[in-house]
Amino acid sequence: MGQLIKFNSQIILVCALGFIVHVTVLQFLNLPLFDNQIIVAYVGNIILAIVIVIALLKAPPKYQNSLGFLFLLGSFLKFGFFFLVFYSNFKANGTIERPEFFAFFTPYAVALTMEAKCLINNLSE
Amino acid sequence: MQCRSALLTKKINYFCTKFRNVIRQVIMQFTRALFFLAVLVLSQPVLLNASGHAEHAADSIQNTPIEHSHSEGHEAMTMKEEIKAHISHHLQDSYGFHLFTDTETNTHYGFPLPVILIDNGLQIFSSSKFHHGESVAESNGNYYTLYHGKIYKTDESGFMPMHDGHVHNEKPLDFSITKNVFSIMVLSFLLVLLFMGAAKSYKKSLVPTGTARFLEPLVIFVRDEIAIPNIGEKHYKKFMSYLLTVFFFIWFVNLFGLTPLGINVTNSISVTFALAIMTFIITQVSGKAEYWKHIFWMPGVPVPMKILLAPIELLGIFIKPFALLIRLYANITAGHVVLMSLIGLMFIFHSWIGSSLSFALAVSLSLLELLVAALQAYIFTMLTALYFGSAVAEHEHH
Repeated sequence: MGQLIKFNSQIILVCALGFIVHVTVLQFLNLPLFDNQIIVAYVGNIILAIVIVIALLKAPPKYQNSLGFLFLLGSFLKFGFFFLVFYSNFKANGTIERPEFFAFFTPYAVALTMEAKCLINNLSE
Repeated sequence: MQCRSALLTKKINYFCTKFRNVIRQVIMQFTRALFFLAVLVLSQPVLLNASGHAEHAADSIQNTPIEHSHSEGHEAMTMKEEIKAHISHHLQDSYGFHLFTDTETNTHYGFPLPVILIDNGLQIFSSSKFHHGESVAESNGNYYTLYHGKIYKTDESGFMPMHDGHVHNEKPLDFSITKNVFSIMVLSFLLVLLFMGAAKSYKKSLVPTGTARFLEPLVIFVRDEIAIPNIGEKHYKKFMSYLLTVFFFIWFVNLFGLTPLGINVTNSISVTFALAIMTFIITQVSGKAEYWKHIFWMPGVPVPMKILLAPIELLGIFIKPFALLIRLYANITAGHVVLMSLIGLMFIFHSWIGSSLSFALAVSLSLLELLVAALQAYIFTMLTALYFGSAVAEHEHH
């Protein structure tokens, strides 16, 4: 339980920091700050990361060997989330532009790194 | 004492004779099978020559007349284009099973297959409605046409607007029993029959009879030379069924691809993709904690290296099955393209020496393809076993 609370607080903190940096860069490049569903991307990735980590930490002992596979399934879940929520909006004008790509990819990469760290800790135990 | 030794000698002689008979019968059966295959493979250039020539002749009469007043070079160009079109047609999947064409009556010999589409509900009709791509097929008020081997939605007149050289008609969701799907079904059924026959023979006696005599050495080969060395004595058994299925499926499919029937299953990237996906899923599902640890946090290397290796190793789990699917697809496709090109050269040379040389080369390559068919099955199975082995390996770190 302690591990889960620690992870939750860490991911929220790191993603908040990531969001501040992301918005600052957008401000610096004179781009709209809250376009491209950026808030949905951050909140969605945090929620999905928490769900995946819960699955990793609460997995029954017989699935301890399959933690990496659960992690991979989590990544597919995130791809599903991207294609269901973002892809059609991003592709509306025919191409996915750079700000659109980074609106999803930045929180995805941050959350993925945090999940991987949690998985490594779990595997090393 | 003497009596006992005589009895022993008699027994040994009896077993030796029996064993020799079994071996002789296995060799006889194998030779017969090899002869049958060789006849089929050797007849390919001849049959393709006949049917291909007939098709080209029909096409020439109908579509691109080769006028005698034209220069030789122009004629060669047209012929080259025709050969190219014939090769790409041979490599493509189709909605009917076409065997050959009678040019005199312009009759196509073969049989249609069911077209199954999901478009305004389920649409099922025979591919014969397309009349080899010359007609628009109607099903429950919907109209479909064939264009470059794909089904597009159209209107009654078969209107296909082109933009930038591309068709923009809607493509319905296609679940048709194509030539490849049909071939997979038939070959799977054949494999089931062969293995059921072999299994039955073991019920009667432990000494294999019938097809089991041919299959047993191969099964033992997959077990002793592929599964055990790559996976290990402890874990190999649970992967044997998959490895044997993959080995025999790829081998048989490749062999049938060399017959003049025009079966090209492993020449379709979707088939090799499906095989690789299965290998990928089984590898990841069987992966032990050690396997994942080696991917995400490689033991025994400095921390900066661990960070560098993690994304590489993570990418590697996708690249490995990708390499598997491309290897099989590319090798078989390349083999077919080269073989068909050599057959095509016979028509380009139009001289006894050039055509004979091409024919001889095509026959030699066909024989080489026999080896490639088995080799590709072996490589796919061996690498699959290797991936399984890395997933279940138990390491000791000090």
